[in-house]
Amino acid sequence: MLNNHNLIDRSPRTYRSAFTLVELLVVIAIIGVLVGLLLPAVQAAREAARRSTCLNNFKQVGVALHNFHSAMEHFPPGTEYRVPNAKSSCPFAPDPSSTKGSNFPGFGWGAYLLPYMEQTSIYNLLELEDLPSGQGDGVFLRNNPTDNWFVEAVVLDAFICPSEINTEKWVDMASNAGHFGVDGWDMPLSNMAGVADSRLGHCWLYQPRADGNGVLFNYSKINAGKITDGLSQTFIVGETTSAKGSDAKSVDVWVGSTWVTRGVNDVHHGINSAGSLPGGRDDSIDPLDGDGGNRHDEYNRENGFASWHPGGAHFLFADGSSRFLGEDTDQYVLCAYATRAFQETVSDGTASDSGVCGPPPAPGPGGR
Amino acid sequence: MSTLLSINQVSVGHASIGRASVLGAVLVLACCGCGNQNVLGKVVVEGLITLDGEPIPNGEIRFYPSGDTHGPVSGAPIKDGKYVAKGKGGVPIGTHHVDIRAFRADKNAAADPEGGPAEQYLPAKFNTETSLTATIEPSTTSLDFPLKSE
Repeated sequence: MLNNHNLIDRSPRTYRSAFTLVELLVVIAIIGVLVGLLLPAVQAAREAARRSTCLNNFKQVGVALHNFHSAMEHFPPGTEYRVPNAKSSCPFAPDPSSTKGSNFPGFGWGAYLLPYMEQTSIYNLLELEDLPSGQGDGVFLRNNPTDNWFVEAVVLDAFICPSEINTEKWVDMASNAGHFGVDGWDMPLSNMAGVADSRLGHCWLYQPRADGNGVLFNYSKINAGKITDGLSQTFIVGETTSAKGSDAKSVDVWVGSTWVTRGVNDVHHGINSAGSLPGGRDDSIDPLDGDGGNRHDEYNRENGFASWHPGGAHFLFADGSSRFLGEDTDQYVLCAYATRAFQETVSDGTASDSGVCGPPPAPGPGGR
Repeated sequence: MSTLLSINQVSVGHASIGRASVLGAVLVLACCGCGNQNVLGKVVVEGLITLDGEPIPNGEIRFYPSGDTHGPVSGAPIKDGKYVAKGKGGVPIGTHHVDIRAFRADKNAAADPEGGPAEQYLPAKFNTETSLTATIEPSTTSLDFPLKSE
């Protein structure tokens, strides 16, 4: 003991230069706590940056839509899509002057915006009219002898929000073809969908309705004068996400929206609906497994407008402004913004009921 | 010297405990501000949905706010008759129209490039022309829907 003391007294430097274990642990603990405090703030700042990029993309699409309107005196068609199916009963009213055939899986609003988004070179490759019979079924099949197929593989970041989890940036459109990008019926991802209707954007599966009460529906040709609710009170485009599912052959695929075709939806689910991935879907219950290979059906009936941003999703209004709407937004407000001419009043977080809110009705008879 | 050191150590030990507890308190206080504030007033609702006594294997339930109830649409998938509406904090308190759909694959359908739509087989009175309503109280935790097809 005494010796020990002497030792200390003789060489105090050895003790000064070293940390004790307790001191070291305390320092580590403090650093750990500080990093723990800092990390959520850093992650929040990164998400804020992603959200800002997304908002900017929506704003740019709004500018492109208005440039289209200036040139053509109406907004682009939400999509021009019809595929015969014996089970389909969909209100269907294409432009009578259209020369397009009865089977026309035509392009969506995103394709029509290309010249107004500095993508003229891609647009010029597109064959927008139907092909003569014998040259492929509609415009999308991969053996199509036009350049369409190459264009349909182009990923446009202008339509994508950085919060999207689908890093492969493609979505599957049919199960009778290969996957992983530029093969078969896989199409480039888009995080934007036109707002077609307040309740029912699709009659069944993937066939969009041609009589939506919104702005971008099947064969729509809406100009600003027809939007009597007010351009700043009417949605034109909203944010969507993609989801992992499996096709009819049990191959993992991404399901979602694309700028090439279709790409319209309705607001009957609300934002981040209970069945959607960001909105609280429990993937152990009823994943996008197809229930017989109908994953698009499931996707459309479950997902609606959604995003991976915490607490809401972006919407572009017809006046070109884009806003972030919270997922607890009153459903009557969403319906009021989705319709173009129902004269709803929106005030103090709620809106008047115009009778087109609530459960989606059965699709009407007629059509094909 | 050694006494001094040991005192020093002890005091460092005390300080670290004190600091940790202060930080802990700060963290606890900070976390109190997080989480869903539930300003709307929502409750998690679960229950059993049967058609003529048989649980619905695969479907969906949606609560659409009605009357003076204002809030988002809520609901949940139905699996083997059970649902737990917990997404986005649950179902807003108030009155709702209830939309219940059940799906089954059409095994006899011809192959469709996209698989073909699933058949929704519940009568329209439970979904597209729903007469089902629900009143959610703050104390509601369970809500069963024994549906009769007749």
